[in-house]
Amino acid sequence: MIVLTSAHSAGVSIYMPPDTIPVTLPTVEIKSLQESKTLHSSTPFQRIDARRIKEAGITDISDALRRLPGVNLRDYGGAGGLKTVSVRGLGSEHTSVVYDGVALSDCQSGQIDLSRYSLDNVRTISLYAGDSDDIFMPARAAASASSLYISSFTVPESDEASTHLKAQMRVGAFGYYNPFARFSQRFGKLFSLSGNAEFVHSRNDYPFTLKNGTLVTRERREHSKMNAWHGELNGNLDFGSGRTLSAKVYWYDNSRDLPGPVIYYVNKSEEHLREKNFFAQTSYKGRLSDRFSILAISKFNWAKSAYTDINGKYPGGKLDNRYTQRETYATASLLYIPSDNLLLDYSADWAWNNLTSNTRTAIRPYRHSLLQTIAAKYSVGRLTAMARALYSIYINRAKDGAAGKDADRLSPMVSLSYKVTDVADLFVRASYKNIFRLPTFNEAYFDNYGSINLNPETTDQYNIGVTYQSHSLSWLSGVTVTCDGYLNHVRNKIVAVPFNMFVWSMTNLGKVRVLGVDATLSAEFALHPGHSLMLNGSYSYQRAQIRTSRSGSDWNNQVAYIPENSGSASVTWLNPWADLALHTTACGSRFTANSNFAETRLSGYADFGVTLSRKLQFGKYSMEGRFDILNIFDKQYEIVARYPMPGRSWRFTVEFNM
Amino acid sequence: MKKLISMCLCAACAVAMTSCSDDDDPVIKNPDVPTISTGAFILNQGSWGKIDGSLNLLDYAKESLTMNVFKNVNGRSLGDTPQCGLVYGSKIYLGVYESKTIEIIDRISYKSIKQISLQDRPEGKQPRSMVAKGGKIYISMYDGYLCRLDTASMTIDASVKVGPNPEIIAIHGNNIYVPNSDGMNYPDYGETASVVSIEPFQEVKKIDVPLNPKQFLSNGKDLFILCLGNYGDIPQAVYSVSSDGKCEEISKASLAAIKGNNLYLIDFPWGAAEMNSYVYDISSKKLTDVSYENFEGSPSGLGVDPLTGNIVMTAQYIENDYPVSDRPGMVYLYDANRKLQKRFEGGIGAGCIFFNEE
Repeated sequence: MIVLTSAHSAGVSIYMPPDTIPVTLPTVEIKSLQESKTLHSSTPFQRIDARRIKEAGITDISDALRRLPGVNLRDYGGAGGLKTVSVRGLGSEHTSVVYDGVALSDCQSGQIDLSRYSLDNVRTISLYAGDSDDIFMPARAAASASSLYISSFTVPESDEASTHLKAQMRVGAFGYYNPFARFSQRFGKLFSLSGNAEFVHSRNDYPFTLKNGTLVTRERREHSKMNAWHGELNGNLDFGSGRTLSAKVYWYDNSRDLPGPVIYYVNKSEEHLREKNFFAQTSYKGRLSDRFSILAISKFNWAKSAYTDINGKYPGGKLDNRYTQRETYATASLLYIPSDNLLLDYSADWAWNNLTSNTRTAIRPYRHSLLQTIAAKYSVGRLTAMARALYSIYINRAKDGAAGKDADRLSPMVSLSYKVTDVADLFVRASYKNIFRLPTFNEAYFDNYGSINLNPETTDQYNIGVTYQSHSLSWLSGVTVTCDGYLNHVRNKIVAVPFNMFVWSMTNLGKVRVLGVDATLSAEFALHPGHSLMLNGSYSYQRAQIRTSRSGSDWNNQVAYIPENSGSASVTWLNPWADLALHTTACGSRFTANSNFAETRLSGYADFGVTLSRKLQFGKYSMEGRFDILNIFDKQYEIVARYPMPGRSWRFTVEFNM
Repeated sequence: MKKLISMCLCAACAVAMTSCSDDDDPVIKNPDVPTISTGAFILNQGSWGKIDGSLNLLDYAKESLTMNVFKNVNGRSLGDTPQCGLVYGSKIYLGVYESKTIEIIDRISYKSIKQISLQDRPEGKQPRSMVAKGGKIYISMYDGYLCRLDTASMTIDASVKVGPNPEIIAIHGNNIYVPNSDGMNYPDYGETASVVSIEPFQEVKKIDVPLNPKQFLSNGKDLFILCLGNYGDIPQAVYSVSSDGKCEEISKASLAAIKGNNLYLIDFPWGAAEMNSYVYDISSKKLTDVSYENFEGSPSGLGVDPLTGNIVMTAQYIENDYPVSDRPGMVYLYDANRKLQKRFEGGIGAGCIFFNEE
């Protein structure tokens, strides 16, 4: 989790990328550190931990993401549906997802499908909208407009027995079942091993109501069955005095039928997608002296997707597109602490990505990414200031054809945090970040619509924010309020334009301006011994406007799929009998295209859920049951047009721990 | 990806109905020989997976454009990406590509008489273009078939394998000419066309045509073909097709329509500053530059009324140098001399234009 590497520098804490390196601190201390992180981060930071996942009735990864302010989730519906996130009105390609300290990559689509990551294995989900205010991290962690950190349970908790086993079964509506198991084993003080495995099956054929003018029919989401396997193995060597070596191996295999969008008068689909992903990563972190620490990470990633569709229109009656991508990645960071107030970091990353496929137009593109950051963090009194510069070099090549443009750029980031008064926890922050993204391999090379002439898409983000945390009172364990206002600019936006009536192409066209506010509230009330009430809420306002050309009909239109208003709320009653959580996520109306008119308007929704859970302890064994009703008011809604979301459904989870 | 591919393939099927038999009994109204045309129908494809398609009616006398005539009457949507239609006798036949349906509606009331679902058919599911003759509607299906719909029983009574990926067909003599675009086989587009005899209904031969054939055009005497090339070094062009199947280039063109002795051509290639338009005199083989009064935008459909000579064009707005696909486009009504009669705000993704004849 979070590690204090430099205990001697009072008031300055150095954070690892969340959960890169575990450390054995007492749980209480970890918790307080996490909270202080939320408090005094100089850049917008939000976190959901395992406790809140349980207590706030969070049902799955998409539910967790919908509760983070500023996050727009694209959810194609149900257990098997693709789920991607974008943050603060920037495209999803601008959000990096960091899993256990190392960024996940998809050079083909530039988006990470978050439906693969099961909440059962998640220790924390954290979001940096803008730059991270961690200084000691790989260069790549600074190379995207926002970062979502997911950390899993990789090492045994310090208070856990040397052998820990968890077995869990979850069943739910529409043929959903999900067995899950995790173990961890400590071998002396030095070495620990942990692993988990799960299987998800879902028929996913939920009913939905289709409104076709005055014709209202009850349909089923046919052809969306999935079978997914997922397993991870972690090893951790703790040499003491802040030196650790950890390794991880990951495997995922999902075979799913794709129902496609709802098309009027058609209920058949023949699309199928098989995805496999393997990666292995190692990470070493060590203190070299009181003044120097080092972090080194390496990773190899392999991912394969096979998309098939059966239709007489394809040559041979079948489309069978197979893509394989690989990544080799290495990074090293050096942290230097010249004085008690100052931290300096230099990080260098190298990544190599390639994409091959069986399509006849495949030209086997590959890319070298050389990224370097230099960063400084300075703390004096109540002020913390940080600056980072990223120098990126991207080299694009293709074995069998013309490659996309190379790029090299310098990207600056600065942030400030100031504790307004010593008598209360009131912090203000301000930050600026400039960053760009390269065209994805799809955008650059895909069949006849990719374009190798694309330039990077650039973003500028400005943020100011405030965090207030109350002192504990007898009846109030704590209230935390955060509020951030921001202004984002996107230039050279990569969009698809009609090449002619029949062929489309990608081009850099478009500017976007986003003005937004993110606010969160969390509070915990002690009602009575053994009873407490927890409140969590978030609200986002996003005015994401097209600013390409004043003469354009879409000038100042709201960007497709960005709601102006969205939010979430949950209330939990913790009690000795069974904890009860009521929760909702809601979203105002959006447009499915940058042309804003009646036909492209997608109505808003509010999705309510209720969770009841009970834990029983029998000596060293414990058992926990949880019952969820999702979408209790059976609201029919869509997050993505023509992809209806499930109506009311249930899930039951039973978990054994020893 | 899929969306883009699918959108790319949305044809602009400027179907100009041809009247070929002229020796029938003049007393009984023959649907093959219409005598009056009162307007044009325009099919809007919508936007795949987002906005459904619709049918608009342009009325010459009222100089009006009525939107959504199908949905207004039937309450429900026409479906997703309708791409072809025609008026034949007392009915209108509409082919809906993604929804895999054929809607048969009344020509006066627009009430749906029958919706034929094609999704369970093994042969021919995705209608792309249609022509009519002798009580039969012939429909090219993008999944590789030419289907025959009997107008009396309102069922598909025969199918012939053609393709791959047949596009806009034409009746010429006693045959139906089918351009086999092989459009799903990028980058190796097709270079053949199927010739299917009407009686017996079967493929007679395949002929060689230029790359990526899109549309056959016939005035009863002469046959032409529009081919789209590879959107690169082989440009889109229209060719005359001789009786022995030889193709000879007439002009660059991206849209074409035919009426009598004239071939109407629009050329609006990628990156062009403005549209080139021509009329080709078939008998004198003379190509003349012409202009359409006050035309703006990116042309997406072209139809020439075989009876009145009126010209109907649909176009998308151009913004920031690119056509805007998800915004309603424009409909232009010109008289035979290309004088603008009226401009209308139309639907989204307009392509197929056919005329309200009886």
